[in-house]
Amino acid sequence: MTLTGENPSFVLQKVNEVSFEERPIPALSSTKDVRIEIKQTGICGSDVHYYTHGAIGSFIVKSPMVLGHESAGIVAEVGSGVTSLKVGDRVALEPGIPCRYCDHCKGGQYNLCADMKFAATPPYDGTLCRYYVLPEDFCVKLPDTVSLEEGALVEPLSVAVHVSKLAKITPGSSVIVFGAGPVGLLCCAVAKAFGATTVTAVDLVQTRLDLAKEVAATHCFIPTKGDSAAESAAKIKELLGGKEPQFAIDASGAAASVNTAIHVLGQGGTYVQAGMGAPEITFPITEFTVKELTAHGSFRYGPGDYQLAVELVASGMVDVKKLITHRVKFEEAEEAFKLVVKGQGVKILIGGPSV
Amino acid sequence: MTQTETITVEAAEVIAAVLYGKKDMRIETKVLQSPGSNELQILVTETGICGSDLHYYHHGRNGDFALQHPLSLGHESAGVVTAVGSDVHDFKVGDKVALEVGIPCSECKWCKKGRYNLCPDMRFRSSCKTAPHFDGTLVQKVNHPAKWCHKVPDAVKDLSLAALVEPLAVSLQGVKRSELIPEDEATVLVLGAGAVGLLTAFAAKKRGGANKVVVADISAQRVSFAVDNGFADQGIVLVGSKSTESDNPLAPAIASANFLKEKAGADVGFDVVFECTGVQICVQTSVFAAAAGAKVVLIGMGTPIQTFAIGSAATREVDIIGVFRYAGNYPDALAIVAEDGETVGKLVTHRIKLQDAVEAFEIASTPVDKDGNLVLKVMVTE
Repeated sequence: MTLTGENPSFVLQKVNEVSFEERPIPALSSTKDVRIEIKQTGICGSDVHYYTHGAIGSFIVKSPMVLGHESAGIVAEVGSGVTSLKVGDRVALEPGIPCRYCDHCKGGQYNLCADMKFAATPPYDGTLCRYYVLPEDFCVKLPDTVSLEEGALVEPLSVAVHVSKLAKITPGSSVIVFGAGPVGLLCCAVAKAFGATTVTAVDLVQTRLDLAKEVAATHCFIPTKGDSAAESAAKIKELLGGKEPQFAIDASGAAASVNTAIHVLGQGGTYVQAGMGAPEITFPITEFTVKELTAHGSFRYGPGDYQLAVELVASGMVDVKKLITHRVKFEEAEEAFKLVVKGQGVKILIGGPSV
Repeated sequence: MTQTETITVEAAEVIAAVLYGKKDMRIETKVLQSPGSNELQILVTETGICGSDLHYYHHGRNGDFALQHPLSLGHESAGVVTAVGSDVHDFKVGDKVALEVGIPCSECKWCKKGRYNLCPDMRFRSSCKTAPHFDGTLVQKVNHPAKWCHKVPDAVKDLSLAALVEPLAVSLQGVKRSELIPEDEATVLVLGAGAVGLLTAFAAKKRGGANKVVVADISAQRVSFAVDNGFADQGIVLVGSKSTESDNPLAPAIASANFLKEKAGADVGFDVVFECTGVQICVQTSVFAAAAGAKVVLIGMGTPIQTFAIGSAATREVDIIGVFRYAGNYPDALAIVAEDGETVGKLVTHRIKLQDAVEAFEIASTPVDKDGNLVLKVMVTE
């Protein structure tokens, strides 16, 4: 199909039903806003989940919603009060606008703002369209050496940065990451950038682990079906020469991974839950207690995470290009979703309508 | 949404205390516009006078910041909402509020990290740090962003307590930065028993869980007040030592520190020292009074350049921590005055009407009034 019009948008009508709509070009709502022409958008598990289920937890799609939130683009218009960006600048978009004034926002945790307006989380439209408006401080300018494709990876990379900062990964440490999807892979990469010298990737799929090794992992492990969490943990420990990791990140949401992580962590270690799976699981709480582990939940990203993610890409410390396995045109956006539903590819990029 | 009664307010004349220069404060009327869509209009019922207000009044400046044009002082305020902007939905006319008068940009990295007190674009009422200056609250009514007004809990009946929330927020910032926790069972020293010293001593106990709080001052009257009214566990009167046999310019401070440690039974020193005077000898004393590995928290603002016992601090790993205003402390400060308004309320020693603001400033500038009564916090009322 040919797309004409000023702001073609990729809209989830209802479960498994998407279509292109012409939406009004969004207006700047304040003097500090910028309008960005979207050039690249990656798809995330959450986008696909809304596509297949129409809801994530209590976030329910009640009316048609534009999908997508992992985007980079070119600034097309700046408000009269904008000082840090000009038309033509290439930016990575941080697609969530907090209220700025609640106790969470004032307290430095804007990712926990109850009134967060996040792209493609109902009822807010996402970035799979031509134009998107954000305040200037939620756009990070990309250096000339960083492409727009890499810019679209900054969003999941920022998730990995947030996880790693919460964990407080230290140089010389051993980190284990469960799940070698995009977030898991990026957690491996950030762990290495933060100085971890042993990075173990765990997944069920060998090809994902092969990519993990290319990206940053020093060790890889596939659990044996039927092994208990304690048994898997023992095998991992053996693989690591008898040394337990100090940091474990779950980027899978799978109960088996969570359990194995708690068993494999060394005493006093830190666990971070990034993956989202079943809302309630069985948890080895005694193991957690006697080893004096610390567990953190991790949600999206907060102050400084986006800036650090861009810096990691610009400096070459993290190579996100390795995660891009497919590229489709805007008109073929639904194909991209179907690929992810089939479990294919790692990160699929959808071009912007002008591409 | 139900349609609430819209009360339109027009521009009106209000009384204001305006500083024109050194010792030149005039009571005038000025025009106050109706509140902006995001603002509240507040009848200011109570404003406490602070040391910085006094500096501007007496010297026309506060350290490096000089008065550049006429300005209303005052920033420790509370009042009652008299009008609500059209986009404000969580306040109504009649609500009692405490005003947080520093408005940061809410966009920079400092604001996002929760350290908005350090925002480079902060606009703080009554301060001459930036120009044009932002009028303070020694005015009958002000328009202020609703997002920076805090509802006063119903349990707080006396709005002077809500006005005391501002300096209490400073004390809480000091306690927060000290990282004091009840498990430390700390022995804490507070130098200076003025309003900020007393509130800091109180906060160190209430929120820091300090085991023992010792307040020291050169005024025996203030020290007794502190202990008699539940602000501190022990009070020590410091006598300024003039002569010393030593060539060491820090000898008087060392002598004071030893005196304090002995009197308090803190042989190895204090776990946290809150310096609430800004006076050089006290800042010096605070380092020597701190135990190895302890913290000195600088709340008082005095001479900007001082001789400092850096060797003693560095080689004993005594950390020096700066405190500037507050960030995120207002809700807790309001909770504290709701819990224990009786103690905090004792700080209000004088209440003077806005029309007599000049008299209020003169009283606030002295440690005791003409009747020999202690001056701690002077409240200017409507």
